[in-house]
Amino acid sequence: MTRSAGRSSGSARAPLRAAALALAAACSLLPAVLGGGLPARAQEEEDIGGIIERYRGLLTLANQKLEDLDLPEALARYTEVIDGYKTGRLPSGTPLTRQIVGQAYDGRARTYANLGRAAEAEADFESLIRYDPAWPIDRAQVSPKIVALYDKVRAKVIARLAIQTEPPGAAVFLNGEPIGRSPVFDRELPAGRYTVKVEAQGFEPLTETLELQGGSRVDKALRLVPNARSIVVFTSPAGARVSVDGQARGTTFGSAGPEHQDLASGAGLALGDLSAPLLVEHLAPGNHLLKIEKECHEPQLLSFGVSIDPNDNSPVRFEPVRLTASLGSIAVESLPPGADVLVDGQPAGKTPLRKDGICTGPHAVVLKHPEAGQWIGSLQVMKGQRAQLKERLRMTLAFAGMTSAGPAGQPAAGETELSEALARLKSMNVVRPGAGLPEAWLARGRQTAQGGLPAEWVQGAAEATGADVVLAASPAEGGFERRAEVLIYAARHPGMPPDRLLVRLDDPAALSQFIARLDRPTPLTRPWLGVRAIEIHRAVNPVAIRVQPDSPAAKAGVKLGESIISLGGRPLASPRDLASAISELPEGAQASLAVQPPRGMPRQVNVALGSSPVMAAMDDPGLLYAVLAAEMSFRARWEAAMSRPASLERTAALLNLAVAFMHAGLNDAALRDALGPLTLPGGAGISSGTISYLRGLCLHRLKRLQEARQHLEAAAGQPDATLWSHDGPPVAERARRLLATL
Amino acid sequence: MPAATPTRVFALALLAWAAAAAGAAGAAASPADDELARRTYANAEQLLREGKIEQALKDFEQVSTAYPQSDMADDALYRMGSHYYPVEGFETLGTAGREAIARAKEIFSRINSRYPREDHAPRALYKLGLIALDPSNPQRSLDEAYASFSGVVNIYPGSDVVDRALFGAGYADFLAGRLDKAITSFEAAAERFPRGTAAQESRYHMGLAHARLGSAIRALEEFQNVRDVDPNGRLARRALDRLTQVHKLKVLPGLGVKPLFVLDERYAPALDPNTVKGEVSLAVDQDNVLRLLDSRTGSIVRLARDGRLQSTGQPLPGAVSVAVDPAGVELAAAGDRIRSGMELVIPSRQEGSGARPYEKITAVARVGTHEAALLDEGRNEILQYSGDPARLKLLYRDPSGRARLSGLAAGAEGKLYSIDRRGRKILEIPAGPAVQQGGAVREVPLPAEADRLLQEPAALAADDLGTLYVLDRRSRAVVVMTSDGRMLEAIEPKPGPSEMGYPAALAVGPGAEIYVYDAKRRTILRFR
Repeated sequence: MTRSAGRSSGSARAPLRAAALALAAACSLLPAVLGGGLPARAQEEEDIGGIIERYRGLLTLANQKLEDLDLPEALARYTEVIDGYKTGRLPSGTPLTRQIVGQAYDGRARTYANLGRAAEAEADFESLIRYDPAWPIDRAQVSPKIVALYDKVRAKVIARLAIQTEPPGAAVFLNGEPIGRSPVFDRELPAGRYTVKVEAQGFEPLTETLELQGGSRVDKALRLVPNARSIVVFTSPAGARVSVDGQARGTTFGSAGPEHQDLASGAGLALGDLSAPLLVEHLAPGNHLLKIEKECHEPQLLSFGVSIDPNDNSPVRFEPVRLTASLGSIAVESLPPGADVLVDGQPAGKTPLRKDGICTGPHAVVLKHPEAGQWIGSLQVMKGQRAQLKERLRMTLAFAGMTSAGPAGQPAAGETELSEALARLKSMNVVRPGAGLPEAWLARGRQTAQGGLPAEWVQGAAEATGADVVLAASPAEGGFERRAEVLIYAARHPGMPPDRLLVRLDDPAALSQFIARLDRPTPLTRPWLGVRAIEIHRAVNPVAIRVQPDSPAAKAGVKLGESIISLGGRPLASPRDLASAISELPEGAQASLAVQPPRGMPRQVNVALGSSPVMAAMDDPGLLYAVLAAEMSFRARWEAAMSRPASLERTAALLNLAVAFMHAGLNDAALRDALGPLTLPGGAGISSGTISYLRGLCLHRLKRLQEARQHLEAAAGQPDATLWSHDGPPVAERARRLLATL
Repeated sequence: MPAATPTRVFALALLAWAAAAAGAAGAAASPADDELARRTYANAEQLLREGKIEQALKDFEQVSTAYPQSDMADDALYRMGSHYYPVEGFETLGTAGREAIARAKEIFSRINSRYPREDHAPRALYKLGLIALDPSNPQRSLDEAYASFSGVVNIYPGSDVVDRALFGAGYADFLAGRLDKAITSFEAAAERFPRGTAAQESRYHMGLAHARLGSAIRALEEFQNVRDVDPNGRLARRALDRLTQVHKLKVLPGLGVKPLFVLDERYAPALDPNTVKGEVSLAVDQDNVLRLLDSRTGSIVRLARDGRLQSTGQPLPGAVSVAVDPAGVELAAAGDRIRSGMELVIPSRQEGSGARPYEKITAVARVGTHEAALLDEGRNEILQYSGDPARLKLLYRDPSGRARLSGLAAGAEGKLYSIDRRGRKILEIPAGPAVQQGGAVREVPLPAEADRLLQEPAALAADDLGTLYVLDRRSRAVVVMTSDGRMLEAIEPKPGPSEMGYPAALAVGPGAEIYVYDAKRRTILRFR
């Protein structure tokens, strides 16, 4: 007894130490278990914690008494804990109480055994095993007698269950709790009644009730009844998208293996042309729509039925779906020619381009000329047809977005409206420059707008997108209207200050006006008659006071002082009528002109209208000079690329480019890039005298007075040369005035 | 390198001053001072609205003196200055009094010296330009005006008065006769601010400047530009007059077109023949409103360009001659006194130890903008009145003492013309300080037909293109000639409606319309 007790004592002490450690670990979990929470709940949990702590104290005391072989006292304390559990005073469900209750049953069973009360010990071990079938009795420390007793009880209480299904892999639930996928092998369970449920996709769920006897082993085999069926799809060629009833089900791939040789042969296909099988699983019984699509091929639409075969529900194999290639061709021309053609981002050649074997459907097309702009758009190719594209290359605007970030992932205020408005531009391609403005600048918001965008970023955006114009905006402050301050850069001319203007975002008319302003090409030429007329008292028609030498009017014999009665049959009462009549006729038009000398008889002559270059004003606050510079630079390059280096349009574009540069104080650039490449003959109107004057003016502003004098003197010697247009004021008088200041 | 002109020196000094003043900008006022200044300013505004002007001005003064560093200080000064000198544009020059001008000048100068970076600094400098240009300013200086206006342009290029300042700089040069320079400024105003308020004035004055420079076609182009830009604007009608004038006098003669002048038969002046009893004097302003002075009543009848009676002026008993300046201000002479606008003046001269009045001022003419030339027939002297009745400047005195001067007309470049009836001569007296008792005076050469046509020249008129119009009573003709003696045309008596029975008075309109008062028919004929 002493020995037994000694062993018992020893055997009791070690597990108790282990139990104490486990309890300590569990206690460390206690705060986590109890968690935080609302004050009331915290109080309640504090109370629960106190109760558990009290029972843990009881258990520690019981363990101590068992170790001290004070068995009655130990028995009493264990019983107190177990009663607490049974009556619900000891809250259940926490890892700690689970430890406390398990140890209490374990301890009391061993106390009973030490007291020789085997039946009660057996009862407690049974309770323990039912309470926790996996309770780890310490076989190394507890006496073999007690272990044997425990094993005897366990053999009587525990049953083993194995479940197999056909097909395997079904999800298995026991009393509603998932226990894994079939097959399930020898799961130990306390004897009792269990509900088994088995589920698998494509099969009806199956439920059974089992009565497990302690010590028994139950093998359960379940056959699942199918409720869906799979199909196998082959396509030729592979790479086709397969969808059933509008839902994507995969893409065929690879090539079929030798086992499908018969299938390929039957379909008249080489094995290598047949895709690997694509399994489309679990289709419900009934009719379905199968759609097979592949770029450059005609889509196939098949209707099929699915039925369940309880005996052989293996996938239904479809005949290979043979896809027919769908190709067309494209013919692309550009003005000017020589533009790189990119179809869906891939180089396809240079304009003019004809290319066959283009897949049907929409294609993104970019025509990009190194000098003369680009065209960005799309082209629809139809099967067997040639899609024609003939486009004039145009400027590109890169919309950099707003200079401040929007709220969490949203576009900045005004960005959507501006973006939508810009998309309506017809004369320019509109693109977004990649990732937009860097975060650091966005964070600066209005400061970025006030300081403007860094030149290197503008350059980078322009190079990446081929943009001529870069536009950014920031929400404008003040007022009740929603406005944006728009910044527009001439991307190829970093020295040009940006145009700044306020645009109302909440007024569709104002936005449209802004877009129209950007969309309206600056007129470079206009119809020209070559006569300046005035109105005077008593005269009913405009009176000619200047007839430009070699002008259409001069060639038609119009003379100073003559009244101009009508043009093209339209009666003229004022110089405004005359200007309006001229502007309504196309350049080069033939028209009849009725004139009357002072105190003479009227006569009719025929004139062929000419063209005059038109220059923008040098300091008009209403003009967007950065846009003007970008546009004029583009149009000059465009004309050159059209092999028209001496065209009137190119001359006018370069003159206007000079105006834009001079407005911005970029006189060097005006001399080098605009006036430098410009040569005009002498004579009346916009001519070499005009160029001399503008060069003289630039040089004068650059304080290169000696050179300025030379050019101004040349201009002063050209009495018929004009500024702004062939009908503009003479440059000679301006040159003389400037010379007087030297 | 050319020597610096006074104007340039002034402009450079202005720039240097502005730079220094900008650097010496004062420290900011405390928030409490700002608040007090704002309240005082608001109170002053309220007093102004209630018509309590004096109290309001005191409050404005208080803002500027008690809170000189506050944001409101320059606003208050500007409000005060503008109260004394409300003139904003060139068309209302001459409407302020001398004392007010002096006070305003001091206030605007204060803004520019103390607050050169504040909002009102450019406007104050612009106002100083207007003041320097104002004919009511006894210290009027075209150079100073130019310097102030060009200061606005150069120091405050973004200001909202730059277009007007550009025009002002041009206008100062224009009045000073620096026409090329004026054109440069006008051109800048019209081209840089084509829709600005000064653009049309600039185009119009460019036309005037070109006309005076003899560039008739350029003048016509600019006048037509005025009409093309705004055919219904304030200047459109004046531009049409000028187009007609320049075309008629400078273009048509070159083309050999005749006649230049024909009777305007549609012109029917609303003049009751029975009301005009005495000698008549005529004058026309640049809006083609005709003034008829009846010496019997001394009253001036104003007739619109279509002949409608527009108004009748306050009588000046004894008045015998009338003139009108470009701003429409009338000038009348009545022996010992003249009336300029509403101001009656009795000029006097220093003789011995006392001042003696002139007794026989029989003709007046405008010189420049607001100065007047007077003809004292009693002493055969031509004098200049510049605002001080006790200090008339002698422009011309017949050195021989035998001349009988009659009539006075102001022509191009400030030149004056008068008839020596005894010698049947027309004298040209140039403007400017060089005139010394006839030293620079020349006799206008007369064309060959003059012997026949100028038998008893009774009245003359001149225009700013250098054209002279001489009315001869005996030959009942009007001779139109250039001031260098080239005959343009003679309107001679022909039977019919254009025949003048007894032409007695003459005036020329801005469109080269010749108005002749026919004393026999007691009506006015207009030749266009």
